[in-house]
Amino acid sequence: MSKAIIEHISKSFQHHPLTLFSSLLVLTATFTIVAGFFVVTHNIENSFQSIGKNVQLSIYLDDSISPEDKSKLETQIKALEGFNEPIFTSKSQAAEHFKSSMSAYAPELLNEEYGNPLPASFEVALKAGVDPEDQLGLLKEASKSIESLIGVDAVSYGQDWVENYATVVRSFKVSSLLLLFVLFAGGMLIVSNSIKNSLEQRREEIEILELVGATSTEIRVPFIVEGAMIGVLSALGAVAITYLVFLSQSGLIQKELGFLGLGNGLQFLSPSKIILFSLFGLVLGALSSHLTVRNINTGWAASGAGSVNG
Amino acid sequence: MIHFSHVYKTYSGSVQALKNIDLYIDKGEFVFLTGPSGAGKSTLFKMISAFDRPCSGEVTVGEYNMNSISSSQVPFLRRKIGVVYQDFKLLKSSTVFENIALPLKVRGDGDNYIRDRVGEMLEHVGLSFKRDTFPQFLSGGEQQRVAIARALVHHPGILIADEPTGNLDPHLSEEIMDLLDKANAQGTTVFVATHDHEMVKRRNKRVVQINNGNIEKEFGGLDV
Ligand SMILES: Nc1ncnc2c1ncn2[C@@H]1O[C@H](COP(=O)(O)OP(=O)(O)O)[C@@H](O)[C@H]1O
Ligand SMILES: [Mg+2]
Repeated sequence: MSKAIIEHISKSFQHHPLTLFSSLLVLTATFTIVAGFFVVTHNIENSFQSIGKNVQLSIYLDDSISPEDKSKLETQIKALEGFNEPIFTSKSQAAEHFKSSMSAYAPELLNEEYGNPLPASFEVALKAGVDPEDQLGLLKEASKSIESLIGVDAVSYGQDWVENYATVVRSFKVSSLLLLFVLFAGGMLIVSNSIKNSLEQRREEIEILELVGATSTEIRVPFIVEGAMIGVLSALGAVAITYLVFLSQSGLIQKELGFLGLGNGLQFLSPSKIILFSLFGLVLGALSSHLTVRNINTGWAASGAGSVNG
Repeated sequence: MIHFSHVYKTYSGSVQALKNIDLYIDKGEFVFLTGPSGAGKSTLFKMISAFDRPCSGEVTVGEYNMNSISSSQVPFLRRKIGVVYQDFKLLKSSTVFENIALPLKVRGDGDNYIRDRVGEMLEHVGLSFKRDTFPQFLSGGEQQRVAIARALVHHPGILIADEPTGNLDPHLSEEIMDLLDKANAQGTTVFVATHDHEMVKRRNKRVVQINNGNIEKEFGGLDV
């Protein structure tokens, strides 16, 4: 069986090398777009996540809050899920902070004469690794539960900014799924077309195999392996090309787009993702080939099953 | 061995290729099917090799009822028969040896058995010296001998040959017929379609004559 498959594939290379190579090229190109897309997505998500680290809830306190209420409030903030430990800033610390950052622009702003208008506050940051799409919900929920507590003046999380950011992430995900779907459908058509060609070249051979009693599985398996091979080779080729492009461009991108906060540098696909991607190519190739050769019977089955007493 | 009962076959376009065929061929018989081109000979053979099925009536081949056979059983029926065509149907990119070995490979025989058995068949059809040649370098008669070796290599109970000598000159035709005769002498049921009346006369076998899809006449056989 395995010898037959090897013979089948080497014959494919001998009999229609052009179709085979053009399918490999086009599928590799398609997969390169997909792989490149994964790399870009991965890095964008990384940068979003590092922006996400700064997403925090600021809870401003009434000046008149009693120490008991304050400690009660702190316990309640600590109980919030998905957030780090709160950091307390007292009125005077807030003033110090403000002074040091603003003194150059308006040294007279915080004049002792007017007292200190800045409130004390708790700040809690979202835990790292929270999905950008879930961040908005968490912030809203936490904000609502804290707002009504005794001693809380206001709660803020940069509402507009976070909402825009969530929308960007969501629409990016939707459009990327659409794009991937189109590319995968295209990839399947490429493999299917190549296998159709292979079938056409072997009409006679298939008929002879049927004649000597080969089962339909025996006849189909070599085609499915051929499709799987096209898929996996294209996937590996795509990873190689993407990696070369990545190597040549990542330095430049990091320099030019440093503001995106790609602190720990651009990342390529991890080894496990590369294996997954190759497996995906294999499955896509095998599946589209399977769908193409599902009905190749030229003889008895083609003469119409079930119409015996017509 | 082969039994047709009230078999009709109509192709789309209302061509009645077979009409009310009743035919019984016993184990070990040698039968000629004669008739002009378009009479329905190939259609009748396709019912036996499961490349087509009747519109009505019953066909049985060995233990298989062709009306109820499932597609997964068809390959196993074909492993019990041998088929020879006018145009040889050899794999172009395989050697003589590989072509003859095909039915054994398909059913999963071991390499050693295949080598010995194919060697035997090569000797039987007188082509041992062409073992590793490709079909395109063989004469028509040699190609047909390869096809016959392939049809007999797996010891089938039935050999059907659809105009096996149609592309060959009379001398080579006799050689081919001798091979079919030999197979029959070893117990294989042989069913041969031909429109070569001279050859049929010389061979003195049971003859079934069809025309326009009907069995017109039957003679020979029992009184040989
Ligand atoms: N697949 C087919 N579709 C339509 N008509 C067919 C088909 N095969 C055979 N026929 C018709 O059936 C008749 C019998 O053909 P065939 O069995 O090939 O005759 P023979 O082998 O005796 O020359 C002919 O009229 C032929 O045109
Ligand atoms: Mg015919």
